[in-house]
This record gives sequence, C-alpha cells and structure tokens, in this order.
Amino acid sequence: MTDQDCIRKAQDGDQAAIRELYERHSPRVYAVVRRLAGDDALAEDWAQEAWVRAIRALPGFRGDAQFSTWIHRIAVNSALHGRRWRERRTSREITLPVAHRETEEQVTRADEPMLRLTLQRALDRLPEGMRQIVVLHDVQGFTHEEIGSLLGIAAGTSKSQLFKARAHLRRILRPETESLNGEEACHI
Amino acid sequence: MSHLSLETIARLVDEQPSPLDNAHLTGCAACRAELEDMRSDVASLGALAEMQPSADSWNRIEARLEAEGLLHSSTHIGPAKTRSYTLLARAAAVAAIFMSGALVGHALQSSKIDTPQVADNTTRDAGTTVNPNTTTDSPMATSDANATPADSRRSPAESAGGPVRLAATGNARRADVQRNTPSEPESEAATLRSLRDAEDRYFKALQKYSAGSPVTNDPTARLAALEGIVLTTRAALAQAPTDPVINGYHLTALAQRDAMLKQIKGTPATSW
Repeated sequence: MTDQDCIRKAQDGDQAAIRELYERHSPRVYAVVRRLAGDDALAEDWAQEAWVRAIRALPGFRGDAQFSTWIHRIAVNSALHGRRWRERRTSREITLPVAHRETEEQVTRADEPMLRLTLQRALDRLPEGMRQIVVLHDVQGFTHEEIGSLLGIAAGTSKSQLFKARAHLRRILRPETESLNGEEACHI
Repeated sequence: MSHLSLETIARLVDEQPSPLDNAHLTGCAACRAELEDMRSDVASLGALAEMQPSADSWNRIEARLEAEGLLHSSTHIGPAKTRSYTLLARAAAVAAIFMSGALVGHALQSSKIDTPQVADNTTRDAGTTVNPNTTTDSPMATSDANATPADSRRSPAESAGGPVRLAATGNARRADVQRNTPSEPESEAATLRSLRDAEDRYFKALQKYSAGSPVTNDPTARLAALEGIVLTTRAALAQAPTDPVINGYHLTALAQRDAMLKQIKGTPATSW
C-alpha cells in the first residue's frame, strides 16, 4: 500500500491505515523530536503530541507536500511548542547551577558509529537553545530563514547562534580544542 | 598571531573565508585541521540515523487518539468523517431500510396483490434474498425478514458495510450497492447516484405499502421489521450523527414503530 492509499484510508479514520503511517514515519518523527528534546521522556511526550496533532489535521491534508515533509514539520512545531510551554512553566522556578560534566571521550574519524553516538550524546548536552539551532540546521537541514520563522528570530540571529553552538559542541567533543579558542599563539 | 576562534571556524564550515581568514588558514595547519574536523562533525550530524521510539509508544498515542475521539478501537472507522464517508453511511442506511421495507412488504403481502411494477420487482428480489428455499407466504419469510436489519446490530462499522451483505444475494441491485463498499472506493458522484437510486426505490416501496396493502393479520411481524429499521438507522446515526437524511429516516421509523406498538396494544386478544 502506498503512502497515498494509506493517507486516503486514514483520512476516513481507518485505524489500520493510521497505524501503518505511524510505523512508516515514526522513526523520523521521533528522531527529530528526540534530538530537539535532548531527553527520552520529553521526546516521547512531544512525539505523541506530534502524532495526535497530525491525526487531528489529517482530514485537511491535501497532499500538496509529501506526507513525510508534512509530519516532519508538525513534529518540529510540536517540539518547539513543547519547549516554549516548558520554558513558561519553569521560568518561575529556581534554576540550579549546571553541574560540571565530563567531556565526551575522544573518538577517531575511523570510528564512525562511535562518532555518531558521541555526537548524539554531545547534542543532548548542549544548552537547549543551541541544541535547537544545531538540530534544525545541521541535522534536519532547515535554512536560517526557516529557522528564523520557526523560532521567531532573525535569520542572522539563527546564523550567529549556530556558529556559537557548533563551537560549544566542539568543546564538548574535544576539550583540547579550547587551545584553539584564540588564547594560544599560532606559531607560524 | 592567534588561532582562529572556534566560532570563526564554525562559520567557515558554511561560508567562504575572508582574505584574512584565508591567509591564516594557509599558514596554520592546526586551524586547517580543526576546520576539517568541524566540517566532518557537521556532515556526521546531517547523517545521524533515524531513531526508534519506545515499544509502547503507539499504545499511548492510540489511547490518546481514542480518548479524543479520533480513533475507535472497536472498529476500523473513526469519527474523522469525510463527505464521501457520510454519503456511504447514508447510502448504507437507505439501502438497509429499503431492503427491510421490501422484506416486510413481501412478508405481509401475498403475491396475489396486484402492485406496480417497481414495487413488484422489489418484493420479488427481496423474497429471493431472504431465503430461496422458503415460500413467500410462509412464516419463515417473516422471521427472515427480521434477520436482515438485525445484522446491523453487530457494530456501526458493520452497519456501514451493510450494503455488502445486503447486496451479496444475487439481485439486480447488487452492482449498485456493492460499489459503495469501502474496499472498492468510488467517486462521490457515483455514491450520490446510488444513494438517490436507493432512496427512490425506498419511497416507491413505501407508497405501495401505504396505498395498496390490506390490513395485515400479523402486526407483530411488521413491528419486528420496524424495530429492525430503527436499529439500522440508529447504527447509521452512530457514524453520522448530524446527517439530516438519516435523522429523518430514524425519526420516521421510530414514529412508525410506536404507532404499531399502540396498534398492537389496542388489538383485542381475540385477534391472536
């Protein structure tokens, strides 16, 4: 059954078709939400929210875009909405100082699977705002204009935040790169 | 001379270096290596694999969809009704009502009655549908007449699929009704045509019964059939609660049933 067949049936409330759509697209939905969340429990909640929103909106889906693109955008919006809601809720709470955490173990370029795992763990440790930008731009491939639109910021702000976030990520991945932070003379 | 900052290197992953940055990179192996590493990191970020949600993730989503009325666990048809779905439900109800009416008429009227051609065909078809092994005058015909609408008690979804069972009896209307099955999607226009045909036949049958039928000696059979129609329309309403046509049929069937009940209650015991 093609996605289009599935969608047509799901639009009529066919439970099996809805489940099929979920099976096909949940890994991608969960991946973007999980990376934006930086936390499994939060990601489960946000992914659930994304699917409920999608099923709610499904009767209005006209197929102008691919379903994967459509659900992906809903997932991103759900995660961003979830984050904003969480920020509002926690803004009145006392922020505890972030405990010092060990830097990720160094991995070699030849060790790609380990590198990806390490990258994922490093992403989780990025401050939330930085993680969003990196995930949206470097992982999901959104443009700065799109990110600006999603987050309500200027494209230039998205760009400068991305560079800061990459630098931060680099420090998490390889602490020795601190030496390249303009503090040490370059002997040339 | 200082190294390039990490933020500058991060920028150079996406942008062309300025002449100043370029001059530095040309002479600084460490910064060049760092830039290459960061490019590699960014490329790896873009190639991160999809991730599987937890095993019970769907169950929780499903529970929430059901709680919000977006999914019915007991059926494969949810409340997200499209226009075509509503039409199908209406057509199913009309077809079931029509068939029930035809069966009742067939059970209550003998073949001796002179009737218009359309209604005659209806009755004959329905009689064949019910039980080809029984005579049309036999008590079995009456009880079988009740069986058709009773099928709709199983579930709303089955009711919506009612035309499949009703049509799978070999009469000439089968093709019309079968086109309404979900497994053979058809255009809204075709659904509407089927609906109008079914409505037309239904009203013709009603006219025939009200105008030409003699007073029956078995009001309980008529009551049972009317009860079946009520159940059928109720099942259809569960799927399309705001549909004015189905609501109309339902109210009419209820009124007819109540009138028949009153008639039975007022009938002297000697008439049994």
